[in-house]
Amino acid sequence: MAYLAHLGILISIFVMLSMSLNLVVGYTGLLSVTHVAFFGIGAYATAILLTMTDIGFFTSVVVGIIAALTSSFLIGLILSKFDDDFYALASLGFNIIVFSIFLNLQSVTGGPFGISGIDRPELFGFIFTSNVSFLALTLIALVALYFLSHFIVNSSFGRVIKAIRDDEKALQIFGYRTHYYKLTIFMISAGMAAVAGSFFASYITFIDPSSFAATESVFILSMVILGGLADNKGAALGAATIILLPEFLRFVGMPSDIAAQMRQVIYGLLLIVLMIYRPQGFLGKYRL
Amino acid sequence: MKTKWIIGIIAAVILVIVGIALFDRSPDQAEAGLIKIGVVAPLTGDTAFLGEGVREAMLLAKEQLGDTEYQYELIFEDDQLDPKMTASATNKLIDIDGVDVLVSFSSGSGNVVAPIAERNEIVHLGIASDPNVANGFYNFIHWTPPAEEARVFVEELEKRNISRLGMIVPNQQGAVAVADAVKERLEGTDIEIVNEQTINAGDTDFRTAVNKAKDGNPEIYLLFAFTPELEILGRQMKEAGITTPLTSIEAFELTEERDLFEGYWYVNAAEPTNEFNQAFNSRTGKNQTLGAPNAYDIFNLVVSVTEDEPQRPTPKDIAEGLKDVENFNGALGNLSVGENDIILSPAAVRIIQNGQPVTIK
Amino acid sequence: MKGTLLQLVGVSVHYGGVKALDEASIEIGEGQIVALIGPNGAGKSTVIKSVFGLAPIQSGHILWHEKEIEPVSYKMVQQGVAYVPQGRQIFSNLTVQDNLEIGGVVIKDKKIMRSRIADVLDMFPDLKNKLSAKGRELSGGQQQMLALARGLITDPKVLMLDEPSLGLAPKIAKEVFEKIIEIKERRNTAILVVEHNIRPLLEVADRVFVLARGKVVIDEPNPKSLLEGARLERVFLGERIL
Repeated sequence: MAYLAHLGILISIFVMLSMSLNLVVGYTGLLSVTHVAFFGIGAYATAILLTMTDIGFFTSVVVGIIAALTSSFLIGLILSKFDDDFYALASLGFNIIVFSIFLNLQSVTGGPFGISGIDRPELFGFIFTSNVSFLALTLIALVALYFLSHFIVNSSFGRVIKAIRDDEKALQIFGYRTHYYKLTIFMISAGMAAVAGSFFASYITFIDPSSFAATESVFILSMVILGGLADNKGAALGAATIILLPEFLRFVGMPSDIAAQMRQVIYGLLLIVLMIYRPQGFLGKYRL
Repeated sequence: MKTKWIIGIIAAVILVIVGIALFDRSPDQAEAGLIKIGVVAPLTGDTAFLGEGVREAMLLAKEQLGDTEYQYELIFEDDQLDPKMTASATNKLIDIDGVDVLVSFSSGSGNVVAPIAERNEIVHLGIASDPNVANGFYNFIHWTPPAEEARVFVEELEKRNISRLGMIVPNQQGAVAVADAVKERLEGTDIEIVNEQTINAGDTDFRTAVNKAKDGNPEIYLLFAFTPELEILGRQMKEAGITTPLTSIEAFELTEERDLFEGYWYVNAAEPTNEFNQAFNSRTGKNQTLGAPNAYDIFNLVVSVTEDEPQRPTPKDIAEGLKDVENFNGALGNLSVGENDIILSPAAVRIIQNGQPVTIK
Repeated sequence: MKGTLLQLVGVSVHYGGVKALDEASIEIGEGQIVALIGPNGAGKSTVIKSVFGLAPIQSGHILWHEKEIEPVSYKMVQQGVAYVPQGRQIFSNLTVQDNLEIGGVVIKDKKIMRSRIADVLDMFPDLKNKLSAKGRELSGGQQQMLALARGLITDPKVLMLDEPSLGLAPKIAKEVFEKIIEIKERRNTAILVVEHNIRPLLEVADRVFVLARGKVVIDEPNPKSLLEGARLERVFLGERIL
């Protein structure tokens, strides 16, 4: 039961992350690889506050969101001037900067040592120690973020970001100041990614910069692409698949001296097959 | 139609996992006298060669077991040193495989495993330098601690009358831990760190750091880098005309290009016995890797403690037994478990001679 | 005399070393259909782009009700100028309903939006049954009608159409021109039309400006007169006429 709950928690956290990136990449059509940076900002906010202060988990989530909103506002101002490839490149640059801060600001982040001993959340004296209780809490957060995302994409604001994906120049002709919309959706998605980060830190109880390297952005992007762009259910399916596939392969009996390597090969092959037969992802409306 | 097909496959996968998790129970190991040891190590990825070394060493130890009261099973899970994979592997080993003991490799993984082990009251031995990994009743570390390596290193500097030290330190957990321990040890001595440069793992051009490292005119350079940064640094220092001697803590032991460091002494974690080296080489055809002798010792320590128990021990019994270990003959010499649950092994001074590491102390 | 709504006064636009517009002056009066014609590269589309801030103006002014206005798209839309770009630029993955609502950036009130959509659908009844269809599912002619309808959502005083018959079969192009006349007559909207399809446009226009090499070479209040004689031919064959 604990293992299944663990998988449920990981899936929930990465669904939150995948949905947040989907708002930017899927719905708005902006190829961003920054999201792991905001994931990390949320994680470090919770880790630092829970280990160095008396501030509790739920407050730390709010602090993480504020930190992500602030940093995404600043970087979004710059990114919203770019299109296409330059946007992706600039977002990668930001990711690298944030990673360097995590790695080098040792007095605050612990540098390469990371931060250990992060507490589990506590609410009215109840500590979410067990995997099952933590899963329940994570699911509540996930449902809340799902409804937020659903509301956004089906609103008039959502209509505009989808139109940006289709033809930003045309939208500007109609009088839309599209950089504000791009900035806003970027900030909202950063806040969501930070929530996922806070849950990640508190669940794993240890974080270090390696969890927030630029390569992890590619990992999250692959969830969005596999699940299908511009579909929240697709984002969830993509995240679940990428998390579950290697776990499933742990149970496939193979000689121990090649098991790990064979699992990697099978995992890679399965992903390739999926993309050949379903290049728009499981439930995707667009291709990247 | 295709969508439904794909979703159906995913659903089937999930059902399989659920099925295995709920229904595929191993025979009651308490009755079978079976002690399960779960090992979380990087078996794929950049550090797979280290995880494979750990695996081979533990399998070697198991093969060498004679008749024992209890049976021992090793279950290996890959984590690629990725915290979320470490957590998955650990939860699976505890919940599905029902292990009695967990072994982890690296401080990062150890920090993930330790609280899970403690919460589930499962013994955990980390091959890790971070003392936090040993927090809690059930957690232990088997490593030559940075403080011990620093002690031996500073003693050697004093013996050689070296008073000006230059340091080149990568921004990596293990390296920074040892560097900090060296600095702490140097306090109160006449040895001064005249130059310290930080490099980033993954970089390939250290020429700026190398040029800056000449300032202060050190008598020796302490390099903390590992492959491939170590070799790049060694070459670029030569290209920059630096003829000042180089030294390291552990790094020279692991490089394939020992000719770059010919004639240089260094400090290594505890040196494995010839017996272990030969057995490991005979089994794998390769020299032992970082952490392999530690893994070998961990297996034998667990067996030793378990065999002492008159009836099948619980993890709590095993933990209590480990805390009392003194003068255990391991691959890394004479081992005892210290107050803070760290299995102490002494550091050694070695030199590269004719491309081979030779112990001088 | 009807009031002048929008004016370009001596506007020059350069793209690097190329003069796309050279001191061009154009007027659009209330309720007028103004034709803007000329050979390829004459600067026709640049006229519209300069009004919407999509082309860099080196000199000259844009006036709205004879007062200078900054040529920025959202300001022009707020004033009551709408632009239907070349190629329609329907949002192909949005529904017809969404496309219409997108056109109403300045409409914050949902009731007003609903009422405007109802008005527009009255003029474009073919779109009523297609509100939930995606833009890409419409034919070329339907997309052009949607583009026109979208342009009218804000109830603009001036509607600027860039090549509205481009890529359409002659029968459909005729329907588009009929719709343009209907818009003028029902709503008294001034309409600036950039077109290659000269004859049907000159039949309905109230004024025509002919551009050549960025300059206004003909400003004719009786557009039909250009259908006779060789004035237009000389422009299109490259000879200057001033």
